[in-house]
Amino acid sequence: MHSTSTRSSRVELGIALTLVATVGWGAGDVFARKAMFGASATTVLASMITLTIIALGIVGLFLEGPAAFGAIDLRFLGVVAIMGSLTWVTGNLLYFHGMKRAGVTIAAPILGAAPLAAITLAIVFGGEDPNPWVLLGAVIIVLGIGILMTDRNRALE
Amino acid sequence: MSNTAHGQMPNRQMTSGIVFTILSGLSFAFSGFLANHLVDDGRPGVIVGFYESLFGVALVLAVNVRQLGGRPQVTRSAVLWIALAAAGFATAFGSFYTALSRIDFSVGAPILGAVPMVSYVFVLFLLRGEEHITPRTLLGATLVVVGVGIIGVTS
Repeated sequence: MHSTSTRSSRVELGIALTLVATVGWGAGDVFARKAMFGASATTVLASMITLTIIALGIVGLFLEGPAAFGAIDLRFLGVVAIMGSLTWVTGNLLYFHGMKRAGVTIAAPILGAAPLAAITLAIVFGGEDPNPWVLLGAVIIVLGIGILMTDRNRALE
Repeated sequence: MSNTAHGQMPNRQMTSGIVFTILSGLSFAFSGFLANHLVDDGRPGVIVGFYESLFGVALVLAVNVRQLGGRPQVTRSAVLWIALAAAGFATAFGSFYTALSRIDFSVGAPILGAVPMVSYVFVLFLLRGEEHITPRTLLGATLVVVGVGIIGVTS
Protein backbone atom coordinates (compact mmCIF):
# COMPACT_ATOMS: atom_id res chain seq x y z
CA MET A 1 0.00 0.00 0.00
CA HIS A 2 2.79 2.35 1.04
CA SER A 3 4.92 1.48 -2.00
CA THR A 4 1.93 2.00 -4.33
CA SER A 5 1.37 5.45 -2.85
CA THR A 6 5.10 6.28 -3.16
CA ARG A 7 5.12 5.17 -6.80
CA SER A 8 1.97 7.18 -7.47
CA SER A 9 3.52 10.34 -6.01
CA ARG A 10 6.71 9.73 -8.05
CA VAL A 11 4.63 9.49 -11.23
CA GLU A 12 2.64 12.60 -10.29
CA LEU A 13 5.88 14.52 -9.71
CA GLY A 14 7.21 13.24 -13.03
CA ILE A 15 4.11 14.43 -14.86
CA ALA A 16 4.22 17.80 -13.04
CA LEU A 17 7.87 18.25 -14.07
CA THR A 18 6.97 17.35 -17.67
CA LEU A 19 4.23 19.99 -17.61
CA VAL A 20 6.80 22.53 -16.35
CA ALA A 21 9.07 21.44 -19.24
CA THR A 22 6.15 21.91 -21.66
CA VAL A 23 5.69 25.51 -20.51
CA GLY A 24 9.47 26.09 -20.63
CA TRP A 25 9.75 24.81 -24.21
CA GLY A 26 6.58 26.54 -25.39
CA ALA A 27 7.67 29.90 -23.96
CA GLY A 28 11.33 29.39 -24.92
CA ASP A 29 10.36 28.83 -28.57
CA VAL A 30 8.54 32.16 -28.75
CA PHE A 31 11.27 34.03 -26.83
CA ALA A 32 13.85 32.60 -29.26
CA ARG A 33 11.68 33.63 -32.20
CA LYS A 34 11.50 37.19 -30.77
CA ALA A 35 15.30 37.22 -30.43
CA MET A 36 15.63 36.26 -34.11
CA PHE A 37 14.23 39.65 -35.11
CA GLY A 38 17.46 41.16 -33.75
CA ALA A 39 20.04 38.41 -34.31
CA SER A 40 20.72 35.47 -36.59
CA ALA A 41 19.30 32.06 -35.70
CA THR A 42 22.82 30.68 -35.15
CA THR A 43 23.81 33.55 -32.85
CA VAL A 44 20.61 33.12 -30.87
CA LEU A 45 21.23 29.40 -30.51
CA ALA A 46 24.93 29.65 -29.57
CA SER A 47 24.24 32.36 -26.98
CA MET A 48 21.25 30.50 -25.64
CA ILE A 49 23.10 27.20 -25.14
CA THR A 50 25.88 29.00 -23.28
CA LEU A 51 23.36 30.55 -20.89
CA THR A 52 21.55 27.20 -20.60
CA ILE A 53 24.82 25.51 -19.56
CA ILE A 54 25.40 28.17 -16.89
CA ALA A 55 21.84 27.81 -15.58
CA LEU A 56 21.94 23.99 -15.51
CA GLY A 57 25.42 24.09 -13.93
CA ILE A 58 24.24 26.33 -11.08
CA VAL A 59 21.08 24.27 -10.50
CA GLY A 60 23.11 21.03 -10.68
CA LEU A 61 25.57 22.34 -8.06
CA PHE A 62 22.72 23.20 -5.70
CA LEU A 63 20.68 20.01 -6.23
CA GLU A 64 23.34 17.34 -6.75
CA GLY A 65 26.59 18.86 -5.42
CA PRO A 66 29.94 19.17 -7.22
CA ALA A 67 30.64 15.41 -6.99
CA ALA A 68 27.82 14.67 -9.46
CA PHE A 69 29.71 16.50 -12.21
CA GLY A 70 32.75 14.25 -11.73
CA ALA A 71 30.90 10.94 -11.58
CA ILE A 72 31.09 10.31 -15.33
CA ASP A 73 32.56 7.58 -17.51
CA LEU A 74 33.39 7.16 -21.20
CA ARG A 75 30.05 5.52 -22.05
CA PHE A 76 28.18 8.43 -20.46
CA LEU A 77 30.29 10.96 -22.34
CA GLY A 78 29.74 9.09 -25.61
CA VAL A 79 25.97 9.03 -25.18
CA VAL A 80 25.71 12.71 -24.14
CA ALA A 81 27.93 13.65 -27.10
CA ILE A 82 25.41 11.97 -29.43
CA MET A 83 22.57 13.62 -27.52
CA GLY A 84 24.30 17.01 -27.77
CA SER A 85 24.51 16.56 -31.52
CA LEU A 86 20.90 15.39 -31.84
CA THR A 87 19.40 18.01 -29.51
CA TRP A 88 21.40 21.10 -30.35
CA VAL A 89 22.76 20.62 -33.89
CA THR A 90 20.25 18.55 -35.83
CA GLY A 91 17.55 19.38 -33.26
CA ASN A 92 17.53 23.00 -32.14
CA LEU A 93 19.76 24.42 -34.88
CA LEU A 94 17.49 23.00 -37.59
CA TYR A 95 14.42 23.95 -35.58
CA PHE A 96 15.60 27.54 -35.15
CA HIS A 97 16.31 27.84 -38.86
CA GLY A 98 12.95 26.18 -39.53
CA MET A 99 11.24 28.59 -37.14
CA LYS A 100 12.91 31.58 -38.80
CA ARG A 101 11.73 30.43 -42.23
CA ALA A 102 8.27 29.06 -41.42
CA GLY A 103 7.42 30.98 -38.23
CA VAL A 104 6.72 29.55 -34.80
CA THR A 105 3.00 29.30 -35.59
CA ILE A 106 3.69 26.58 -38.18
CA ALA A 107 6.91 25.08 -36.78
CA ALA A 108 5.74 24.48 -33.19
CA PRO A 109 2.80 22.14 -34.04
CA ILE A 110 4.94 20.16 -36.49
CA LEU A 111 7.56 19.68 -33.76
CA GLY A 112 4.74 18.82 -31.37
CA ALA A 113 4.01 15.80 -33.58
CA ALA A 114 7.45 14.31 -32.74
CA PRO A 115 5.87 11.55 -30.57
CA LEU A 116 4.40 10.21 -33.82
CA ALA A 117 7.99 9.62 -34.99
CA ALA A 118 8.79 7.87 -31.71
CA ILE A 119 5.76 5.58 -32.13
CA THR A 120 6.69 4.87 -35.76
CA LEU A 121 10.23 3.90 -34.69
CA ALA A 122 8.79 1.62 -32.01
CA ILE A 123 6.56 -0.10 -34.60
CA VAL A 124 9.17 -0.38 -37.37
CA PHE A 125 12.27 -1.21 -35.32
CA GLY A 126 10.80 -2.35 -32.01
CA GLY A 127 8.29 -4.77 -33.52
CA GLU A 128 5.46 -3.19 -31.50
CA ASP A 129 1.91 -3.85 -32.64
CA PRO A 130 -0.07 -0.58 -32.61
CA ASN A 131 -3.62 -0.64 -31.29
CA PRO A 132 -6.41 1.05 -33.31
CA TRP A 133 -6.33 4.13 -31.06
CA VAL A 134 -2.67 4.73 -31.91
CA LEU A 135 -3.53 4.54 -35.60
CA LEU A 136 -6.46 6.93 -35.06
CA GLY A 137 -4.14 9.35 -33.20
CA ALA A 138 -1.63 9.13 -36.05
CA VAL A 139 -4.32 9.87 -38.65
CA ILE A 140 -5.51 12.91 -36.65
CA ILE A 141 -1.92 14.21 -36.35
CA VAL A 142 -1.35 13.82 -40.10
CA LEU A 143 -4.68 15.57 -40.76
CA GLY A 144 -3.67 18.43 -38.43
CA ILE A 145 -0.30 18.85 -40.14
CA GLY A 146 -2.05 18.74 -43.51
CA ILE A 147 -4.28 21.62 -42.45
CA LEU A 148 -1.25 23.58 -41.20
CA MET A 149 0.50 23.04 -44.53
CA THR A 150 -2.45 24.34 -46.53
CA ASP A 151 -2.64 27.50 -44.41
CA ARG A 152 1.10 28.05 -44.05
CA ASN A 153 1.40 31.23 -46.11
CA ARG A 154 -1.43 33.06 -44.42
CA ALA A 155 0.13 32.56 -40.98
CA LEU A 156 3.01 34.89 -41.84
CA GLU A 157 1.19 37.39 -44.05
CA MET B 1 14.09 39.49 -41.73
CA SER B 2 11.51 41.77 -43.22
CA ASN B 3 10.18 39.03 -45.43
CA THR B 4 9.23 37.02 -42.37
CA ALA B 5 7.60 39.92 -40.65
CA HIS B 6 5.78 41.50 -43.54
CA GLY B 7 4.55 40.21 -46.85
CA GLN B 8 4.17 36.67 -48.00
CA MET B 9 6.95 34.21 -47.24
CA PRO B 10 8.51 32.67 -50.35
CA ASN B 11 7.04 29.21 -50.72
CA ARG B 12 10.41 27.45 -51.08
CA GLN B 13 11.74 29.11 -47.93
CA MET B 14 8.61 28.05 -46.04
CA THR B 15 8.95 24.48 -47.32
CA SER B 16 12.60 24.29 -46.26
CA GLY B 17 11.58 25.59 -42.84
CA ILE B 18 9.01 22.80 -42.52
CA VAL B 19 11.53 20.14 -43.62
CA PHE B 20 14.07 21.46 -41.08
CA THR B 21 11.42 21.28 -38.37
CA ILE B 22 10.49 17.67 -39.25
CA LEU B 23 14.18 16.64 -39.09
CA SER B 24 14.59 18.41 -35.77
CA GLY B 25 11.55 16.53 -34.42
CA LEU B 26 13.18 13.20 -35.33
CA SER B 27 16.40 14.32 -33.60
CA PHE B 28 14.54 15.29 -30.44
CA ALA B 29 12.75 11.91 -30.40
CA PHE B 30 16.08 10.02 -30.57
CA SER B 31 17.72 12.30 -28.01
CA GLY B 32 14.84 11.88 -25.55
CA PHE B 33 15.08 8.12 -25.97
CA LEU B 34 18.81 8.21 -25.07
CA ALA B 35 18.20 10.59 -22.16
CA ASN B 36 15.64 8.16 -20.80
CA HIS B 37 18.28 5.41 -20.72
CA LEU B 38 20.79 7.62 -18.90
CA VAL B 39 18.43 8.77 -16.17
CA ASP B 40 17.13 5.20 -15.78
CA ASP B 41 20.75 4.29 -14.94
CA GLY B 42 20.57 6.75 -12.04
CA ARG B 43 22.15 9.81 -13.67
CA PRO B 44 20.60 13.09 -12.43
CA GLY B 45 18.58 14.75 -15.20
CA VAL B 46 20.14 18.18 -14.60
CA ILE B 47 23.66 16.73 -14.96
CA VAL B 48 22.66 14.94 -18.19
CA GLY B 49 21.26 18.22 -19.53
CA PHE B 50 24.42 20.09 -18.48
CA TYR B 51 26.82 17.74 -20.29
CA GLU B 52 24.52 17.44 -23.29
CA SER B 53 24.49 21.24 -23.62
CA LEU B 54 28.27 21.38 -23.14
CA PHE B 55 28.77 19.04 -26.10
CA GLY B 56 26.00 20.89 -27.92
CA VAL B 57 27.67 24.30 -27.74
CA ALA B 58 31.01 22.81 -28.86
CA LEU B 59 29.33 21.15 -31.85
CA VAL B 60 27.25 24.20 -32.78
CA LEU B 61 30.35 26.41 -32.65
CA ALA B 62 32.30 23.85 -34.71
CA VAL B 63 29.57 23.64 -37.36
CA ASN B 64 29.14 27.43 -37.55
CA VAL B 65 32.69 28.61 -36.89
CA ARG B 66 32.79 30.68 -40.08
CA GLN B 67 29.41 32.30 -39.52
CA LEU B 68 30.18 33.18 -35.90
CA GLY B 69 33.74 34.22 -36.65
CA GLY B 70 33.02 37.92 -37.11
CA ARG B 71 31.31 40.22 -34.65
CA PRO B 72 27.65 39.09 -34.66
CA GLN B 73 24.98 41.75 -35.04
CA VAL B 74 22.72 41.53 -32.00
CA THR B 75 20.25 44.16 -30.88
CA ARG B 76 19.77 44.96 -27.20
CA SER B 77 16.25 43.57 -27.16
CA ALA B 78 17.50 40.35 -28.76
CA VAL B 79 19.89 39.90 -25.81
CA LEU B 80 16.94 40.07 -23.41
CA TRP B 81 14.91 37.55 -25.45
CA ILE B 82 17.92 35.23 -25.69
CA ALA B 83 18.29 35.31 -21.88
CA LEU B 84 14.58 34.57 -21.43
CA ALA B 85 14.72 31.77 -24.02
CA ALA B 86 17.72 30.26 -22.22
CA ALA B 87 15.80 30.35 -18.93
CA GLY B 88 12.87 28.59 -20.63
CA PHE B 89 15.02 25.93 -22.29
CA ALA B 90 17.15 25.30 -19.15
CA THR B 91 13.95 24.84 -17.15
CA ALA B 92 12.57 22.54 -19.84
CA PHE B 93 15.65 20.32 -20.16
CA GLY B 94 16.26 20.12 -16.40
CA SER B 95 12.62 19.37 -15.63
CA PHE B 96 12.03 16.88 -18.42
CA TYR B 97 15.19 14.85 -17.84
CA THR B 98 14.48 14.79 -14.11
CA ALA B 99 10.92 13.72 -14.91
CA LEU B 100 12.20 10.81 -17.03
CA SER B 101 13.67 9.22 -13.89
CA ARG B 102 10.10 9.07 -12.53
CA ILE B 103 8.00 8.31 -15.61
CA ASP B 104 8.51 6.40 -18.87
CA PHE B 105 9.53 8.28 -22.02
CA SER B 106 6.36 6.98 -23.67
CA VAL B 107 4.34 8.80 -20.99
CA GLY B 108 6.36 12.03 -20.97
CA ALA B 109 6.81 12.54 -24.72
CA PRO B 110 3.10 12.84 -25.55
CA ILE B 111 2.64 15.44 -22.79
CA LEU B 112 5.23 17.55 -24.61
CA GLY B 113 2.86 17.41 -27.57
CA ALA B 114 1.05 20.29 -25.83
CA VAL B 115 4.05 22.59 -26.44
CA PRO B 116 2.40 24.19 -29.55
CA MET B 117 -0.59 25.29 -27.49
CA VAL B 118 1.69 26.93 -24.90
CA SER B 119 3.59 28.58 -27.76
CA TYR B 120 0.33 29.90 -29.23
CA VAL B 121 -0.57 31.57 -25.93
CA PHE B 122 2.79 33.37 -25.96
CA VAL B 123 2.45 34.15 -29.70
CA LEU B 124 -0.86 35.90 -28.96
CA PHE B 125 0.92 38.28 -26.57
CA LEU B 126 4.44 38.57 -28.01
CA LEU B 127 4.22 38.04 -31.77
CA ARG B 128 0.89 39.69 -32.50
CA GLY B 129 2.34 41.92 -35.21
CA GLU B 130 4.65 39.33 -36.76
CA GLU B 131 2.66 36.09 -36.90
CA HIS B 132 -0.99 35.29 -37.12
CA ILE B 133 -2.87 32.39 -35.60
CA THR B 134 -5.57 31.83 -38.20
CA PRO B 135 -8.58 29.61 -37.43
CA ARG B 136 -7.08 26.94 -39.73
CA THR B 137 -3.66 26.95 -38.03
CA LEU B 138 -5.40 26.76 -34.66
CA LEU B 139 -7.50 23.82 -35.91
CA GLY B 140 -4.39 22.11 -37.30
CA ALA B 141 -2.42 22.58 -34.07
CA THR B 142 -5.41 21.39 -32.00
CA LEU B 143 -5.66 18.21 -34.09
CA VAL B 144 -1.93 17.56 -33.60
CA VAL B 145 -2.27 17.96 -29.83
CA VAL B 146 -5.42 15.79 -29.73
CA GLY B 147 -3.74 13.10 -31.87
CA VAL B 148 -0.64 13.07 -29.67
CA GLY B 149 -2.91 12.99 -26.60
CA ILE B 150 -4.83 9.95 -27.93
CA ILE B 151 -1.57 8.11 -28.61
CA GLY B 152 -0.22 9.04 -25.18
CA VAL B 153 -3.33 7.98 -23.25
CA THR B 154 -3.85 4.71 -25.13
CA SER B 155 -0.23 3.52 -25.47
